[in-house]
Amino acid sequence: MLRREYPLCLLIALWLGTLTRADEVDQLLRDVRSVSKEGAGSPAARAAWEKLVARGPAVLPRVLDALDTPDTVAANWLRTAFDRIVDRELNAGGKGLDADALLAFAKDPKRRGRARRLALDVVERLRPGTSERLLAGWLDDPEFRYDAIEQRLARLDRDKTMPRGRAIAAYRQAFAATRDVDQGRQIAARLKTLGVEVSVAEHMGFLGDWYVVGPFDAHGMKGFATVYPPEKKVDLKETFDGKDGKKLQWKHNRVVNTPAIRFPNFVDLHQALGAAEDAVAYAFTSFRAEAPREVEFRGAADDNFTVWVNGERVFGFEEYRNGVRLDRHRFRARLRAGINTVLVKVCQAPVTPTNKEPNWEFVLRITDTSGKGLVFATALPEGK
Amino acid sequence: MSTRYAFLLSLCCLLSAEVRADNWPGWRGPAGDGTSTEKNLPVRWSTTENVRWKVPLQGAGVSAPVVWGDRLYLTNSDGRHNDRLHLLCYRVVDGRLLWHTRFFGSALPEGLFAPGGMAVPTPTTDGKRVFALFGTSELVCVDLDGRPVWVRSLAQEYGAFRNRWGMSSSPLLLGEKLIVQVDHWGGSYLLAVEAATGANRWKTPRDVGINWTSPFAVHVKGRTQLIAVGSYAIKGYDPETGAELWTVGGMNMQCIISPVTSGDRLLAISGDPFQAVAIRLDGRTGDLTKSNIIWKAKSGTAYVPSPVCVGRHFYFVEDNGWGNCLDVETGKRVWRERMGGNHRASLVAGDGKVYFTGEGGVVTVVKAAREFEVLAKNELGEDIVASPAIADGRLFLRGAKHLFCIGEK
Repeated sequence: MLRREYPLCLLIALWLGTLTRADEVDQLLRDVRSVSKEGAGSPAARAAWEKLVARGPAVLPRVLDALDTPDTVAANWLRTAFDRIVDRELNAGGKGLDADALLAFAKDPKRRGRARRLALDVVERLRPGTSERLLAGWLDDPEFRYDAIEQRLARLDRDKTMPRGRAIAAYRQAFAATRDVDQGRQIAARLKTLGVEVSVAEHMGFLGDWYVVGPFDAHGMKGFATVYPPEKKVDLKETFDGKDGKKLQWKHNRVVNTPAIRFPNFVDLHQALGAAEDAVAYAFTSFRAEAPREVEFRGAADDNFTVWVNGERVFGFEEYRNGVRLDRHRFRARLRAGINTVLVKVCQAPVTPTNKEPNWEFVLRITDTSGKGLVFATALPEGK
Repeated sequence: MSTRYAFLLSLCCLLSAEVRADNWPGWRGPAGDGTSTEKNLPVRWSTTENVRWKVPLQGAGVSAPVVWGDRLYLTNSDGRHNDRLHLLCYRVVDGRLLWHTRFFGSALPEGLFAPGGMAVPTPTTDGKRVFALFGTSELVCVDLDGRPVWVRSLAQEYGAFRNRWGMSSSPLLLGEKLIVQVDHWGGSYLLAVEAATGANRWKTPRDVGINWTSPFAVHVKGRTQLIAVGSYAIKGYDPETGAELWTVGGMNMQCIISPVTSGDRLLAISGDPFQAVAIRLDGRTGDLTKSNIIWKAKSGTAYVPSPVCVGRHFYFVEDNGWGNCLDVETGKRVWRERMGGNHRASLVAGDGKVYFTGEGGVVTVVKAAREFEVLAKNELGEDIVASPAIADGRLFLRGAKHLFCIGEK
């Protein structure tokens, strides 16, 4: 009887042993992930870290799984353990590393990008050429999109014999995939040499058709908080009393994109409205949407930045002299079917001895959540 | 013993009982002022002469090398967004890489200084642990084997660094406290954390905008004070509590340069409007703008490279390459001479020499003396933005592509 059940008992014992070890690993991972602000939990995390590292490559898939977290502190503890194990194993020949498991992780677009890159880096060391093969099909990958397009462009640059039609198709595909403005500009330039014009501004959703008005007096840097008439109602025929007794009216300002322009559809208020200091300007646009939808606005201004969508204030940021960076601010708003309006307010700082010609400018685009530009038909009247 | 060397000695003792004069444990060396007590430092070198070793560098970074005993530590960053962070340890004798610890970056600071990426702050060490701050806000402590001791993300705790040119302030190790200065648009602060655990000792808000200066320790009337320069003022703080002790107005809106001391004087530069200023450190508190400024000098101005003080001479270099020497007592110009090229690296000095490191990679070695005398001009064939380190009779230079160890046989 006992002899007949012995193999079963052994299997159960082995399974239980595995389960126990698995539970221990879970506990170790929990201990590491328990770190919190101000370094709290570090001694326990370090003790668990040592034990995890000692377990070797068998725990790597679970460490990788655990470091797929938005908590960068926990992720960093775990990645240092991951790297330790990998480095040691690679120095020993790398045979203990499960490249298939790491590859499956790297291929999973639902995983956090930085964790996928970590896994792919190891696979690349084990199986050189893997990244190149994968990138060829990752033009729309949420993490590797930029790299895939860079690789595509490098290949196209190298291939001098590709028929023009195929090259255009390949560049167009890359252009459609990119979410990076500089990359888009590069592709547009290459397409231009092939006789094809594409609009980076449209592809990235930059708004370039505006009416602008200003300068309004904001003496004492009060412009951000002061409510001027355009905030109450926009009537493009209305005239206003501006700074230094100037009579103001809305001017149609359609941005002309040149190769030298810093960003597509970059609005230079200094150029549009003249020099001013300690002042405020507004820009207004209107467009038609086919259906209601949630969109993302991405933009920046110098100085300060306030945005109203359909009369509702959806963003406000007060900060003087900090420059325009692309997509510095992101905020969401809901568009309605039919005509939508966007009003932008940009302040201008006073002149100082160290800043005699402060910039006065903004840029704004509308995208989906991936950064792909959304294009809408203008609803602005023609005007001067 | 001069007042200056008494000060250096006391500060060294304060930093650590174990620190040796030939270490370069953090930003601007053992005294935090760019000077070393090392002797027989190199005068001449080239790509083929007196380069003891060189190792290739990857990624971006202009943090300075730091050296303790037989180890040298360096940071860099790479990746499309420079959010892959690296802390590396090399063997001083031959440049062999001993370990390499990598971190994820949690938050980018709205902009960066391209050659530096997220690795502009210089790490620091007490010979038992290594501490590094990155532009992504990662503040980490590892042991001498590169294993984590504690890890923080200041962005997760207090918000991302909001700075259009990135973070460059180097942490200061002061006894068992690590001092971190975060001057940015997102609410500035001076932070003291326990070196052993990473826990906060204190956190003091600073009413300033963006700056790139590093905290500096001085000894005043038998007590240590912390100095933080930025946004129109120099301020002194109590390192035990973080309380503000004094302020002197007149600095630039955005400051980069670290101050130095000479005896009881603090010497600072921040570009316009004060080109250089000497402040008496006498233990007084409050607004000392009217009472404690000894002199203001109008001899050229620097925005990026930090100065050094050797004996009674205060040396600095204008960003466009004009070297200056002022008299510490009076602020009067002793000489102003062209070094050539633009300069971003801070000056270092030791063994009677002042090293002016040009951005194009030319290091002008000048005799630390009243009379201007160029001892040598040395070129390594690549750009140098990082500040040099001095240790073990050698000079360590971080170029755009290589880390160099310079030493005469």
